[in-house]
Amino acid sequence: MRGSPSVSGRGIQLDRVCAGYAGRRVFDGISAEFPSGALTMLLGPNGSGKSTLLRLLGGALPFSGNVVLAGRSLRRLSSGQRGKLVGMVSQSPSLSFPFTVEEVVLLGRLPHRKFLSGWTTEDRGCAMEAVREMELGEMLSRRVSSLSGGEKQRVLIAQVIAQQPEVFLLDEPSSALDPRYTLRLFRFLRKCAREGATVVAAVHDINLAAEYADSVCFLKNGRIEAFGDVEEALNDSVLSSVYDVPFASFGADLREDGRWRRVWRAV
Amino acid sequence: MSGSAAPAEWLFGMRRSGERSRTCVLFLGLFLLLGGAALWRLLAGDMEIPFPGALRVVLGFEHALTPQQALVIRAVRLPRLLASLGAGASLAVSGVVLQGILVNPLAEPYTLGIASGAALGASLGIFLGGAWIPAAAFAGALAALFFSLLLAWRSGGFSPLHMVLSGIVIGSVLSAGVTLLKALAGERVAAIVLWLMGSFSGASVEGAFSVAAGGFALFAAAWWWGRDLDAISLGENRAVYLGVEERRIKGTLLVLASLATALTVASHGIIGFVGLVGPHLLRMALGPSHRVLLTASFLGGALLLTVADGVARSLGELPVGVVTSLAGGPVFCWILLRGRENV
Repeated sequence: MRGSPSVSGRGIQLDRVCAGYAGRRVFDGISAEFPSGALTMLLGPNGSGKSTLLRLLGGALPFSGNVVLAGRSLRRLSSGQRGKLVGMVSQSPSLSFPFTVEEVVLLGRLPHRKFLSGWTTEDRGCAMEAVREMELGEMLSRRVSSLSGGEKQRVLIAQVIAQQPEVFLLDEPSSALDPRYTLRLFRFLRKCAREGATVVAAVHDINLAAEYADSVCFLKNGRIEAFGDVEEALNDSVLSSVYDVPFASFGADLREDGRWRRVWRAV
Repeated sequence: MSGSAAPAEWLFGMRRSGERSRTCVLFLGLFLLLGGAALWRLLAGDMEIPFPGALRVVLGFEHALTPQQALVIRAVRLPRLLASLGAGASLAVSGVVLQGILVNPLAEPYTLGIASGAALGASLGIFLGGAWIPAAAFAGALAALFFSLLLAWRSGGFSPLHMVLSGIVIGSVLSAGVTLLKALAGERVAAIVLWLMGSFSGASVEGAFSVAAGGFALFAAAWWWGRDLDAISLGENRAVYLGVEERRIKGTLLVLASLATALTVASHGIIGFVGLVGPHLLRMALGPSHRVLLTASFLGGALLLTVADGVARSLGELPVGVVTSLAGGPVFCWILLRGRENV
């Protein structure tokens, strides 16, 4: 594993986990380990279980089996403890009530609030830091119901940054973002990973994974097809078998860290 | 000063100074209007009653007026005023809470079938002889809530869409039941129709307090969970990911909102639009943050229904439900036509 070595027991461990929705079981005894201190990207075709896995880890889906987050059983965590530990950026936020951007970002501090007190100076500091990270300073008093899809996505990401979780879960966080904020987001996530956080992000863009991920996890039909260091697990044959379409890699580009990478395309 | 916050912020949430002064002005206005409306309802009527005397009787000084005047204040006008205040506050707060937990700006007691259930219960009570009408309405409201929750749950979950659709289905079936009872009721049809239209004439102080108590219990719980309610109203499991005990809070508030609505409908009949229009207008002015919105809606709903009752009374004792629907319908159309952004 590149980057700082994984701290044993601080990541996410799944042990024979079964979960799904009424009438449709998605996972039937899945086991995996997502290391801390690393940015892991979930890849796989539509309906392969990426979102289900993230919702499950976020505590919004019942499951059987065992899930351990940062050394603690997910089932035994109270809602408040889970809120402090895990932050989740979900897909396409609706945000239909006209809260201001500032109010929504501050709500990220909800798990940290003290009994009945208002937002503390620390809360406001964290929120403002998150606002700077996603460059929302200009629109603090705008109503979220009037924002574009990408702007809503940034507000939601800022809320999770303000939450300061140990485990970041992100479900296609860059689907509505322009290249500038996609770059900003993944650089930030990598920085968090370097500082010891566990980051798991579902994406569709294989080249995004090639560029930013430390490790990749391929899901197909609720099963893990391949999981490992990005340089080994990401190859033509895995991609072709996961997506059922031939892939070719070509060209070469310089990565941010000075290493060569390949560019992938379905052909 | 980590760990503490200014009292104004504690009360009003996270507000900027410009917004805070607007909030203060709005609250001051609500209090003044509420006082004015209450005074109007105490003094207006067939019997002329002087202002200082009326106030002193309300405060417990029986001999400030003639016995007849004191009786009118104590037994007629004061109970009616208290009833309209309590019912208005209760309906508006129920509206805010249901809109928040269902993440649906159009939710109110009527959308969930709660009011139709109460109507069927009361109609059944009248049909069967006229006893226990409030209790029958109460049971009907709770049964309607139970069935819409059951239907939502069995059809795929407690998502806003499923809940409102189930509420509409259950509401339609129950309304058909009311129509059936009216068709079968013979000479009692007049009593059913009158009750369904809603009225505050003949209100008692005890009844008014029971309605207000239901509204206040809901208000207190929702205010306590104000921030959690903000997170819940972001929708799509946001609250779960922010560490809120969403199921417990939603369940508790849903039951309390049904109780508050059932108590109101059981005592005063069907009074529409108060839970929809009041919160909408206030949300436009103050934003959707729940602690502020709940407090303002408590006052605003009380004001709205008290004025509506005054109008109904001065137009020759019209049913108050007719007045709120006639006035609320167009206002609601206007809100919808102004566009989604301000909903």
